[in-house]
Amino acid sequence: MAKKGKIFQKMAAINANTTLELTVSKTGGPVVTAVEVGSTGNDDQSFSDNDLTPGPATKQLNGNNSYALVWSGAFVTQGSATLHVDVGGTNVKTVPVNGQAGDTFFRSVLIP
Amino acid sequence: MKKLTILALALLLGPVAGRAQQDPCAFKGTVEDFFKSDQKAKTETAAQEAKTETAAEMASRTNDDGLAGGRLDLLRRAFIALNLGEVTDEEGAMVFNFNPDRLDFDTMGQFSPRFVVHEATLFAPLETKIGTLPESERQSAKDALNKDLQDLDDVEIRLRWTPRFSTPGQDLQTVATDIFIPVYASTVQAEFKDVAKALAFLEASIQAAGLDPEKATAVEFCNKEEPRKKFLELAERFNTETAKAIANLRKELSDHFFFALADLIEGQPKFVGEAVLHQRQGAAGPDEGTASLRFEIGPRSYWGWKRWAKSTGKALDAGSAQEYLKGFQGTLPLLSLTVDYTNTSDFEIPLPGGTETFSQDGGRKVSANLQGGVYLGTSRAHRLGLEAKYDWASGDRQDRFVSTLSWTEKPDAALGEAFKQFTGGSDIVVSLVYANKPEFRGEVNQDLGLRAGLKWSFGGTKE
Repeated sequence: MAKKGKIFQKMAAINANTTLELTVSKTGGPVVTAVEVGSTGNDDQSFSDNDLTPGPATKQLNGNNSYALVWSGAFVTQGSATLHVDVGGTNVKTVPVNGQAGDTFFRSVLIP
Repeated sequence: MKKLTILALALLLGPVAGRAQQDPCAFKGTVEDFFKSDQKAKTETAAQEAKTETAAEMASRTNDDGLAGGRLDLLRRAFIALNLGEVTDEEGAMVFNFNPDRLDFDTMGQFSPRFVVHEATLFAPLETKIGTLPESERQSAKDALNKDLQDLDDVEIRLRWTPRFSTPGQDLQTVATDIFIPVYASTVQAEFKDVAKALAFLEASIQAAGLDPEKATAVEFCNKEEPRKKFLELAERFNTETAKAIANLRKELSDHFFFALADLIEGQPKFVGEAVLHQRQGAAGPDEGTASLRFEIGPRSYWGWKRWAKSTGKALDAGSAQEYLKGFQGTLPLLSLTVDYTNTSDFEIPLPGGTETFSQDGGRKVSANLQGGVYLGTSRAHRLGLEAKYDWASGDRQDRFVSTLSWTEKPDAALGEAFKQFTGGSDIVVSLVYANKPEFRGEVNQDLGLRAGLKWSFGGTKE
């Protein structure tokens, strides 16, 4: 029963009016990132660094679909980048990455 | 060196290659943890391993020399417990690095304090003096002086200051973004889009199986048929095509001078100031205070790019940055000038037995060191370098000046390999040495008078 409850909460988090907000904050750098939003429907979307910083980049979510993100980027010099994922103003997730000069990174993020 | 190379290769290749060979369903983390691949993650792993090794080394050291529970151990524990920074072990010294982020100010620049605890040993001139005592007294005198040395009798307090004159990093962010976006679009975007979509389907299948996709581990959801199938497909893709795409992104960014933008920041003229207070107790030696100022400049810099763009009528955009950086391929090293001032206290200590006293007058010393070099042509095969050093010390009437102008020739790969077989290095180095007094010139292969000479070597760069 507990597992069913979790599924219900998850599905309830995304409905027809839910907005996904993505923001990348940075220190040091330059560092450049990009996000690919993958969907089980036909509403995939891409966000460039200009969309994400200062952000937020926004996307309307469909309650019938599941979503995941691929966040990637590269560091010119030492610094850090943090992806803030906000689903409907209630579910918030942050993904930090610290990098040295010359680093690239790839992160998978499931929409909370 | 070999060990470092092997370690570096293992760190670079290990995670992806290792994961490709093992069963993805045996992975103990979550989906998000599995599909994460970057240099930093590897660095973090290496750093953690190094930290563990350092901790183990320090633990063994405290047990071996009886420092457990001593002042040094207490200091180290307090430093870590208060989260003031990192403690590292470096060649007989324990270094307390204060967290530099806490002392980084927009207007004043960055302050980097360090506290270094050296292993206290007998002051070298004192040891020499003991060597002149009658043989029967030497060992007992050494033992008596060593016995009095404590674990905090030789410490250094260092404060480095890096002023912040300008922040080209902020201005270069736009240029970096403009280089990144088209490279990303043409190399990896299609692959990353597909992976994001496959991840969404994997997430949905894990959900449908009654598990929380954010928390369930691979071991858990691999028990369900559909999530297992999707996960294994995606894992295979991640270890092959996605891994290639990530490597390709890095290469293409490099080819488009994305990472070379760092040279524009590093090459900016800058000052670094440092103050060092070296305090010794008992037979460890005299106290010293040192102040140093270092000036550095690179041949390519943000200001240099701006001047070049102005003189050629180009805009300050990604295209002109790439053109500017391309024009400097093969050139490099920094020109640096360092000036040090050191003040040493008088030192006096009675030798065991009470018959003699060792004493040494304090003094002042000023040193200046100029270093620079340039690669000629568009490769790194020919390099001209200059080093000039001047020392003045109170009580030492002989001021010292030595300069060396060197030509370094790097032979082609085949010839370089042949050199390595015989000499351990591959470069040919010819140096012209000049000193203001004959006794400072050192040994040369060819005399050019008393103060000057020529030196040469084959295989000059040892590896």
